Amino acid sequence: MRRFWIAGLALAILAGFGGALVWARTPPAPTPVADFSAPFVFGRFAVPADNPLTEEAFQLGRHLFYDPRLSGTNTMSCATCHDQARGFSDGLATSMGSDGAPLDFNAMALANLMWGPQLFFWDGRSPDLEQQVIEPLLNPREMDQPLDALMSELRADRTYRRMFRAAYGEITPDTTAKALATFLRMLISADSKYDRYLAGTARLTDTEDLGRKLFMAHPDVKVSLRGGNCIDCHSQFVTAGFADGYDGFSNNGLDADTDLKPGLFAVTGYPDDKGKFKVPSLRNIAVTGPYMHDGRFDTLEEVLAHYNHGIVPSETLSPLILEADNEKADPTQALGLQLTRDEVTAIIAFLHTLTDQTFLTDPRFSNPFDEATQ
Amino acid sequence: MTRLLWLSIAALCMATSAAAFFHKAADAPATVTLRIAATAENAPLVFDQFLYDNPGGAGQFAIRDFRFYLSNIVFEGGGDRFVQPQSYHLARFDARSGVIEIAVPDVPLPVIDRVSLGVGLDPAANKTIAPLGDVDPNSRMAWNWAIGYKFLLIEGALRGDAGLMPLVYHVGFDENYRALRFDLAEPVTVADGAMIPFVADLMAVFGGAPALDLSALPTVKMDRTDAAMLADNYAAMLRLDL
Repeated sequence: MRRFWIAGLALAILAGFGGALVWARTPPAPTPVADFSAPFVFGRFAVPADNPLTEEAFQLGRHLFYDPRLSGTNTMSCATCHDQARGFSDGLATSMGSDGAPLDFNAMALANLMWGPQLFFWDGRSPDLEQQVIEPLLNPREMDQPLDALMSELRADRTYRRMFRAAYGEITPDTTAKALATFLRMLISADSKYDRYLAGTARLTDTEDLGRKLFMAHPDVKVSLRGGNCIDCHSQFVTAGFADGYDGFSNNGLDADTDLKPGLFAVTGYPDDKGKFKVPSLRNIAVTGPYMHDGRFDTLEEVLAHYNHGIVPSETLSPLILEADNEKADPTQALGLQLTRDEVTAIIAFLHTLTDQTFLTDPRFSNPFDEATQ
Repeated sequence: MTRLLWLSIAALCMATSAAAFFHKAADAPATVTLRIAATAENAPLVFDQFLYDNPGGAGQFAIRDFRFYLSNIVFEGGGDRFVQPQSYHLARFDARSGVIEIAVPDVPLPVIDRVSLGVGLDPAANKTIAPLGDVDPNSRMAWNWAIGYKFLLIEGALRGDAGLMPLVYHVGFDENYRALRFDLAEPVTVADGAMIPFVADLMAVFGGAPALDLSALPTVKMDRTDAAMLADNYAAMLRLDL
């Protein structure tokens, strides 16, 4: 009888231990992001079915985004080139690699990435955010971080073990990419003065409203319609390039044929894509200079001067830019927008209404390691 | 005798069931596809090459983009009518694709002998700022919320003695929605895989009487007279290719 009780007790302990082991190995279900919303005028968006937006993934992605261990030298994080106060850009013409050498392109600002072109990088070479976020890590000129070494560093960290387990169950390159992509998807800027104007809770000044009207109009001398022609590349609400196909890529007259960089051509191999680059979002544009894919313009005034009288013709230049002139009806005589000084001022005033201080200072998007040390 | 009676009843039941099954299958809603191929001069439209003569003047032109909205598809046949709900489609053609297929699901008709549709957007859709089918206020077909959408977009360039001239034809405005009707010579049986082919003849947009001299009118955007003239032309752009 006594043997029977001992055997029973051993069996119960074994079952309990096994159950605990199973429980310990089964991660809890992640928490879907609650009350997720974006202005309806942004339109449709898609989140990958295998990487839903969850609180755990967002927090993990946020930590990874700000962690310098994501670079080979452990000195450079994603946030080094994507500073929240600058709309997640870096204020440099072209970013610096982890070895301090300048890179080829301007760091793109990050906001509202679920809308606009769903091809990432200036040349559109990445078809989704999960792939995009890993590339700078691996690039020897950027963060130069071999993934196997990164996995070892993350697995050695108790906090990351806990966070990965809660978000995805395991630490892998795939789940690292998914977490970073989730953080980027959640960077939604929708509380600018323009957003509030669209929602009917703010008024634009007369100058800002003139700028808005110019932004939204392609010039047509025949009917005396003056325009800044911005809308031909930047959508009216999202203000990024268009999402459909390659509509979000354009040659905006920066260089002659002899100096055109490949741009989208490097991805598609189609000759008429040469010199086309991704049209960026204008959200927070007043704080994300320098401008253009190579950061050649320091100020918005220089950008407007380019469109006003600095267009350089080339084979793949958009006809919408080549033809846009507020003074001349004959497109062969077009010299640029030829906006007045007041009109330029108005467009720049409107662009400042796209600055979203809530977004730029939102603690949810800030460095979590700063919080930990406070 | 009893056995024979039961066998007869069983056979009758089976025959009735089979008939009911096949009758239902024949009438089951199916997807019908409208296939639209961009053409010029009775051949597939070639993009980005200066192959086409200016219809009303000197020089050759090349096209980089040719797009239009195709709306409110209605099929008629067998004495019945099917109206596709939320029927707003963008036909877009460029060097990457000169053909588009618009799938219309759940068509409950046995046959189709007439297709009705519109080029452009009806006034309600033209005012919307919510995504509606292929109508997207953040797309290249949107002007802005005060004006509405481009119904037709043609962009390219004309090469002539004066050099290169950009061509920009953006036609919109409520009055330029054109409702069209096509009677099929032979009814198309509705079944999955059924297809009704059309061609969209770019040259028809520049046709009319007289044919358009692109150098004299290289852009159409907000001038309503010019826009209406092109709209009258694009009303003859689509034709059945059966």
